[in-house]
This record gives sequence, structure tokens and C-alpha cells, in this order.
Amino acid sequence: MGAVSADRGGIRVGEGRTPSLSRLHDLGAELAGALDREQVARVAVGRTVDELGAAAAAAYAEVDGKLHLIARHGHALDDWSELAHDAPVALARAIASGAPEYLSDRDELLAACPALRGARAPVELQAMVVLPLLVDGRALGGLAYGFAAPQSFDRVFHAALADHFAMAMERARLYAELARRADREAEQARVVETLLATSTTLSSELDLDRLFQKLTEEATRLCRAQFGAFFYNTVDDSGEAYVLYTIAGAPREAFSRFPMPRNTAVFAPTFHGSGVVRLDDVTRDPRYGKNPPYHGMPEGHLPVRSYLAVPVISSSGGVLGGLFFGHAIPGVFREEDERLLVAVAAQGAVALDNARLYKDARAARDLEERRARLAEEVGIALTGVAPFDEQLRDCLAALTDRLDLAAAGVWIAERGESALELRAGVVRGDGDGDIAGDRVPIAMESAIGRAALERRQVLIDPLLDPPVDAPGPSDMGGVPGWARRPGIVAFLARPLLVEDRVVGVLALANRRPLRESTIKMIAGVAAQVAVAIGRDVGERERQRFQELFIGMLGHDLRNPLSAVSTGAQAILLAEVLPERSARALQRIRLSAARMSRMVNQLLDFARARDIGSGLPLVRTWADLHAVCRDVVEELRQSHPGRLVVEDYVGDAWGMWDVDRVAQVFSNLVGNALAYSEADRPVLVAIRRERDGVSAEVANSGPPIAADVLPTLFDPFRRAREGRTSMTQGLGLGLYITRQIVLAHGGELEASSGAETGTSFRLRLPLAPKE
Amino acid sequence: MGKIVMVIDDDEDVREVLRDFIEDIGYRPVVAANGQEGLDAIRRLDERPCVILLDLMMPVMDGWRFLEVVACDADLASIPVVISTSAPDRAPRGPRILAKPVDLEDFMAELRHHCSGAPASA
Repeated sequence: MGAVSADRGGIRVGEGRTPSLSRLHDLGAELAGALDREQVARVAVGRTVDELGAAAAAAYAEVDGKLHLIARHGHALDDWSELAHDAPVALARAIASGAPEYLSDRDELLAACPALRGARAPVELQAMVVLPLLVDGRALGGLAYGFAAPQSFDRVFHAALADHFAMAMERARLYAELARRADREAEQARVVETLLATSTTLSSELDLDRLFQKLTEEATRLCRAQFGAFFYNTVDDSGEAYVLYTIAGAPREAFSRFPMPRNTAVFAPTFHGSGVVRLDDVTRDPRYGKNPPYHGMPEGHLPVRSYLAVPVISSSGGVLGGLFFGHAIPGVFREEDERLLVAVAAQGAVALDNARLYKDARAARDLEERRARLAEEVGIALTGVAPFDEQLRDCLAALTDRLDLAAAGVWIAERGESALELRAGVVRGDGDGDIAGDRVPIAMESAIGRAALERRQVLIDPLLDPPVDAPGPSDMGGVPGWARRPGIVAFLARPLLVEDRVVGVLALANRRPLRESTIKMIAGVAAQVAVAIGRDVGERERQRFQELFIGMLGHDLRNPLSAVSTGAQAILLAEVLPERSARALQRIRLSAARMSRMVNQLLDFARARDIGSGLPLVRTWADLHAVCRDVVEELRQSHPGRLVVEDYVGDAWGMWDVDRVAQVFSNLVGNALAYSEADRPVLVAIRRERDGVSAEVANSGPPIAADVLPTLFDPFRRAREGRTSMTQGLGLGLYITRQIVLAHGGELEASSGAETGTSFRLRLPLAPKE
Repeated sequence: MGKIVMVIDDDEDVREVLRDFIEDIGYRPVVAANGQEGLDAIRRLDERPCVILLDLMMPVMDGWRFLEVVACDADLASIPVVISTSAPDRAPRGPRILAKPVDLEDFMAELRHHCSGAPASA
């Protein structure tokens, strides 16, 4: 080619014999518009025939190591559609050598192409040009054209022609390459973009139903399917497994008329998670149409030919479901669609796993919140001052409301009894009466009694009518009438245990099956009720004991003391006795009197300890000055020679229990006298304050030890401190004194010091608080 | 014979000590173990007691009920009643109250107050 080009500058194209340079220019313009190789070849062969007067022309292109015929014109040339590079023909030779061949007459032609000798052709060729199409020394193909008459070739012109064609071909090749690359990049960009978008969509969706819908829609859009569906396995709240589905590209009715897809030969690989199934035409697949009843698609099914199914597999390995896509046209789904959908399915699986985790966590949290709320409401119901039966009823109301139960009741087992007693019952809705049957035997024939007897939960769910001919105890038997009403399907009786003792039974009926989580919540409430019953039983036993104790102290113990004391006094008054006998009798009388006082103190103590009632008061309108004055006068009589200084200021009338207030002053002034030297005075002062009266009883005796002061008002203080004394009594005096002040709504406190002596200060309001 | 002094108390020892004491100081004691026995005894007597020493906590008929019955009976309403109780805070307001154990000197003061005149006729 180099030698040819060197001559190009000197060429002169003759008029009429060869095309002008302007023709060459026109050809260039025409080739510029040809954007693929075939078009370039068509122009080449067309122009050589039309413009140069060639009888025939053929263009070959290099494809995969062979030369392919891509365009021809005329009939004279053998049309080898494919040529090997080493084929014994001029074109192959020229392309291999890179040098054009100009065969000007028949002899030259036959020498170069012996195959033409004897070939029968409509036109016998007399001359031929064979041009390799070269760009930078690389052969893109070749062009040959023959003439019906011998020629004198303008080699420069033909070489320029070859250059034009070669350049055009290369341009077309580059253009095609660019277009392919652009296509590929666009496709890749689309995949990346859609995967990203899908990922964002899926990860932002925690609602399972919406997530499935989105997954189906995205996947259907991505693979350009006509319609898509996602079938997925799910488990409902009661543990039942279901297959649900979402659809895209078709109305729901297009599927809803048909049963769920089963593990047929076509579907199995997807439901088993064993791999992707992509079929150009599902109806031609050997697996298709093997299963009854439809043997293929049911009548009215969406027309599916192209079929693509991708399993969605959880990170834990379980198959979550399958994505199915269809198209009415065969061969729609390509390998890259399959790859893309596998990626989408993986993303979908992660999103599904996340959504499930989220759903589970939320369900667990909701359950915990409900449990806590119920426990709180039950706790509130079971505390307070309302009668216990009311507390139980409130508790059952909370239980039935919160868990939406039809009815519930609490039966209590008294110690030693062989039957349970109904203490509270609640029936909800449609006014269908009350819980009846207040006494239930603790026995096998009653479902409630069985729970108590066997100390285990009796759950009957579902609640069916027992067979008529099956009398006697069975697991179905003994369900009470109130739980046998229409619509009720579950019955539960749970023993209430306190320290391993059955104190009662909580029984209930429900219109729906009882879930495990509900039973757990009921168990929590049962535990709370059991504790409350235990507390109530304990409280009632304590009260009974308290009453017995008070009765014993108040009556049975004091009467004989009365007889002793009065009897001794009677003898003393009636007879003249020897001095010894008289002293002994006097001692009996005083001891009995002291013992009587102690019994009174114990009685006060017992009453003050009676929670909720405290010391009973009988209030009257009275003058505290007068009450105190009487007490002081009595004590002066029994403590001759002692000085008690009284200091009363202001008005001291109020609503007080006179006897009890007198007891307070008697105790405080008595103590002040007992714990100070005989020559030291005791001070009693009463002052009117804004809404009450304050009083002080003080002496200058030895101070009370600092460690004793904080427990000064505790009951049985002396016994606890290990001090005993014949004269000092039980150590209940200050305790009772303070209880009386407290019962009046007042306060009492003590202070003591070496300098200041000991002082008791009390404040009493004028009247009880309303 | 002195005037009748009635003692109603469910404790036998108390009743017997008081019966002897009342007799010793020159009155005619009549004792009963509860309110009902007391009412029965009064109705059998030819003469009203000059005073009744009444315990409160007793079986069959207690002191409070006895007081109600007596108050509603025109015949008996005028008989003075002195209450002897170990729970003075629960005693009804009105009658004189002697805390148990009854101080006999206080009791004698009550007798002097109610029974010094001529015996009440039936």
C-alpha cells in the first residue's frame, strides 16, 4: 500500500474513463452517513457497480478470524459467504498480504483466480480489482469488483477508494463499539441504581405487609415482568402457618380465584430454596403440566410464557418465600435479570428478617407493657381500705377488661373446709347474667375443685360439649354453667397458692382460644390475688386473735382481780385484825390494784395496735385546765409533801376524751414526780395556741440517757432494756400516753439535759380534723 | 332489816365478796349473774332496791341492755344505778361509774347517798 500511496500525488484522473475526484468526495460524504459495517459495505459494492461500471462486487469483513460476506452486488462473482484467511482466492491473498491486486485482463484474472476457469457465470469477467481494507496496517476486510471488459486501472484512484472504505468501516466499527459500551454502562448504571433504590425502600419499611408489597413491585419493575407475585410463609398469633401473597402488575382478583401454589415440579425448586428457575417458555418445560387438578395453569390464569422464580432465603437459612414473575411473551427474562433478582431477593430477605425481628421485638414490648399495666391495675385494686370482696371484684374487672375475657371469678378455700366459696365474680357484655354456684366442692368432678385438689392449672380449650354418655370426671367435665354459654370456647381454672397452701381458685371463660401469652398474664394476676388472699386471711386471723385477746384482758382477767382486791378491802373494812394480817391484806389489795393497772395498760396497748382503728376516743366538750387540775390534785394526795407548780394561761376548752387526756397528764406528772428528788418541784404548764393547746410537764431530775431518748415511747421498753422493777410496771405508760395524744391528732415529744432537766411537750388540736 | 342493795355481775367471786360486805354493813344484798336474772329478781322482790351496782359486760343480757329495759319501765326507771366496770371509757354517760376493782369506800359513799333514808316501799 505504501508504494501506491507514493504515487497518489501525481495522478490525474482522465475525463470519462475514471470518476473524478469530486465523485470520490461525494462518496466520502455518503460513507460518513453510514454508521454500521453492513451499510458501509453496501455503499462500497453499490458504488463500484454504479459509478465504476463494475459487473459485480463483493465486500467481506473480518469476523472472529474468518472473512464473512457482508454485501454484494451483481451476479458474476462467486459468493462465498465465508472465507478462510488461507483460502486460495485472490481476496484472501490480498487481505493476508495487504497488497491490492489489479487484474487487467482475462489471462491475469484466471492466473490469480483459477477457480474462475470454467465457472459458469452470466457475465464472463475480464478484469478485477481486489482491495484489502486496511487501517494502520490492520485488515478489516476486503473488497473485490470485476468488469466485463479488460481494464486499465488507475491504481492510485482505487487505492484511495480502498482507503475511504476502510476508514468508513473502521469508523462504523468504533461507533458500534462505543454504542455497545454505552449500552452496557447504561445497563450497569440502571442495575446499580435500582438495587440502591430497592435497598433504600426495603430497609426503610418495617411494616411487613407493606414491605412485601414493595418488594414485589420493585422486583417486577426491575425484571420488566408483566406481573409478579411474592408468596411467603407466615405464622399468625395463634401459631398457625399460612401462605400469603402480594402481587404487582395484575389485580388481586387475577390470583384470588385460585388455590395457593403447591410444591409442584415447577414451583418446588423455589419453595425449597434450591435455586432460580428461568424459563423462556414455561409451557414447553418438561416439568410443566404434570400436576392435577389443572395440569398447568388453571383456566383464567394470567397468560405466562416467560417464567422467572427466585427463592427468598433468610440469613438463618430458612426459605421465607418465593418471587415469581411472568410475561405473556416467551424469552423475555435474560440472564442479567436473573442475577439482578437474586440480588434483590437477598436484599429482600435481609429486610424481611429485620422486619420480622422488629415485629417480634415490638410484640414482646407490647406484651410486657400490657402485662405491667395489668399488674399495676390489679395491684391498685388489691390495696386500699375497701372491703376485700370489693377489691377482688375491682381486680377481676381489670383482668377481664384488659384481656377481654368473658367472665372470671375468685373462689376462696377456708382452712380445713372441703369446699370453695365464691368471693367475687365478673361477667362482661351482653348482660348474660352472673357467675352462679357460690360453693364448689374441692373434688375431681368440678373443674374448679380439680384445680384446687390437684394444685395445677385446668385448661379446657377448645370447650366442647361433653359426650352425653360419658358421665363421671373427665378432663372436659365439671365446667361450671356460667362458662358453658354460647360463644365461650375456653375455660381456665388456676389454683391460688400461698406458701404452698391452696387458698383459692381463679377461674375464667373466654370467647376466643387462650393464647400462651394471655395465660402467662393470668398467671401473674393469680399470683397477685393469692398474695392478697393470704394477706386478707392473715388480717382476719389477726383480728380474731386481737378480739379474743382484748376480751380476755378486759373481762376474764380483770374480774378475778376485782374479786381479790375488793375481797381484801372488805376484810380490812369489816374486821379488826392483828397488825400483821392487816398489813398482808393491804399488800394483797395494792398488788391487785397494780396488776389491774397493768392489765388496763395491756388492753390499751392491744387496742392502740389494732391497725386502722387505734385507740377509741369518746370526745366531749371539756376544759383541759380543769382536767389537769383534778389529776394534779389526786397526785398531790398520793405524793404528800411534793411541790407541783401549775401554770395555766388562756382558754383551754376543746373536744377531748376527758378520761384519756386525764390519763396522759396522770402518766406524765406521775413520771415527773417519780423520777426527781423529793425536794424538787414539778412544773405543769398549759398554753392556748392559735388552733390548739400546748402543754409542758417538766422536772429537774437526772437527765434521761441520750441513747434511751429516741426509744422512749416504744412499747415494753423496760423489758427490752433488761430493766425490771417491781414498781415500774410494763413500760407501756409512755407508749399509751403517746397513742392517746396521736389519737387526738396531737404530738408528744421529750427532751432531756443535765442543765435543763427533763421536759415533755405536747400539742393538742381543739377538735378532730374533719 | 336494811334496805335492798342489788349487785348484778357475772363473776361469782365478785358477787359473793360484795354480798358479804353489803350484809356486814347492814343492808340486804340481792345478787344476780346477768341483766335478765336481775330483772327477774327485782320483779320478785316485795321492795325496790335502793341502788343497783351494775356490771356492763355480761352474757345473756348485758348492762347496756339492762339500762335500756329499766329506762323504759316506769316502775323501775327511778331506781338509782351505779355502774361498776373495768372499761369506764365505754360506759354510758349519766350514771355514776365505779372502776373495777371497786373501791369499797367509794361504794359505801354511794350507798350512803342513795340508801340513807327510809326504805323505799314496793
